[in-house]
Amino acid sequence: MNYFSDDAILNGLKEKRADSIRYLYREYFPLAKSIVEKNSGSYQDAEDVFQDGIIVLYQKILSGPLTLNCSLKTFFFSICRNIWMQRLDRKWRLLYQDDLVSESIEDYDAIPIEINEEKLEKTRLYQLHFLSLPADCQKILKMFLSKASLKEISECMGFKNVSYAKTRKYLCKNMLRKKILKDPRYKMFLHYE
Amino acid sequence: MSDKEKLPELIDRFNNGKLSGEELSTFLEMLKTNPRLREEVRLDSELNEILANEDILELRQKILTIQKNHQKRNGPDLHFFLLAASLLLLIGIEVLLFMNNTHRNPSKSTTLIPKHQPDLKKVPDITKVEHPVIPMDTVNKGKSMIERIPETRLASNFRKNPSFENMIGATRHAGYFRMDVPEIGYRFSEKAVIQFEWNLEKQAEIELKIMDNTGTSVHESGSLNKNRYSLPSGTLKRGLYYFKVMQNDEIIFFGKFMVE
Repeated sequence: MNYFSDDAILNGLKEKRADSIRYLYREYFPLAKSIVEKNSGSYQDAEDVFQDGIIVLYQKILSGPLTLNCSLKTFFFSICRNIWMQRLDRKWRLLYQDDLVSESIEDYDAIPIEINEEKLEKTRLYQLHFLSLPADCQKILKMFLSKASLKEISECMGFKNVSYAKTRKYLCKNMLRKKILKDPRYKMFLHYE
Repeated sequence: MSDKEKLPELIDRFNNGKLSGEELSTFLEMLKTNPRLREEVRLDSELNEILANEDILELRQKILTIQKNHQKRNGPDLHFFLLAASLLLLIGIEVLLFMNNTHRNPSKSTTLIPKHQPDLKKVPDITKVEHPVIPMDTVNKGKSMIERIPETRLASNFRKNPSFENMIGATRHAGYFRMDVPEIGYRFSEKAVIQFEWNLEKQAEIELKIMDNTGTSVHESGSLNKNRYSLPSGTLKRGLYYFKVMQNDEIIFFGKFMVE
């Protein structure tokens, strides 16, 4: 596999190019894995952190020109470390109601990067369940979220009438809702339990 | 529109700012008193916001595809092992059946065509083939037995416990844990030894608690520091059971099995 410079990776990721993501995976995933596994996490946790890390990096690239004072690898390492430490912090707080949390986020925030870890986890969870829906449901919900009218959805999907499109929309949304509510990872976001 | 569809529609209209007048004030009242509804409204609103970002969704899909390929190349392929194990099992069963048949009736077990086959093209007279004739009353008895099975399965002792069903699966915790045996929903024979096997990242003490479908505790293992545990045959009656694996009073796995 070719060598990608930092700029090449950033440009490739901006265009969501598969070769850049593949390169990131090969070269940077071991970093995420070591951070997570050295701090009481599993391989699955490492994969989640890595996914979230790429999303954060992508959002940083889109939000304006990214000026780095260090190598991209160091920057990405800091992103993953921030995500994992915030995640651990949140889980511990949930388990022990703040009693045992002595370390503050600043202690491990060597390179200050603004990250909303909870939103990252929710985004991943919702998107994973959305992508596990049948293709027609994904299409209906995408159209609905892009504010297409029921008539437009009905015509595009070849439904007999608008009323059926409405029913399908609710069935699909309900299917997604149920999948998320059933996921044990969602339980920690519930506010009423 | 059914009542089931009305609430999602109300939530949807509320989150899109399309509720007004009395409908809006009634909904706001409901929100004040109903925390579950508040949660549903929050989930719906977050879903609308997160899924509307197609850009991130597209990136996620690409990362997932690459992640899967990476796992295939670098990690042990579980599907391959499962397939190989199933094939071995099938071959084993086949060999056992063949050997069993050979012992019982050596003359009929061979499938090789004899050298002096009289006439291969000759169609056998099916009226003369020595098939055992099953009397009709036996057939009817068999039929009634088949018809009884669903009734047994729907009996109250196999009824699912909705709260437990929601908890099934591994829960996230700091360490690694994998339940190898039994698979979720595995059916043990009433005469079988009920075997549990798991894989824990570090050797640590766990506890196994088994409940019936009403939530009544039927067995507790006590502290275990091995990675397997079994119950002698006949310990549990026919029925649906749930079990939880506990570590330091935290549930790290929730599963179910049946005894039939």
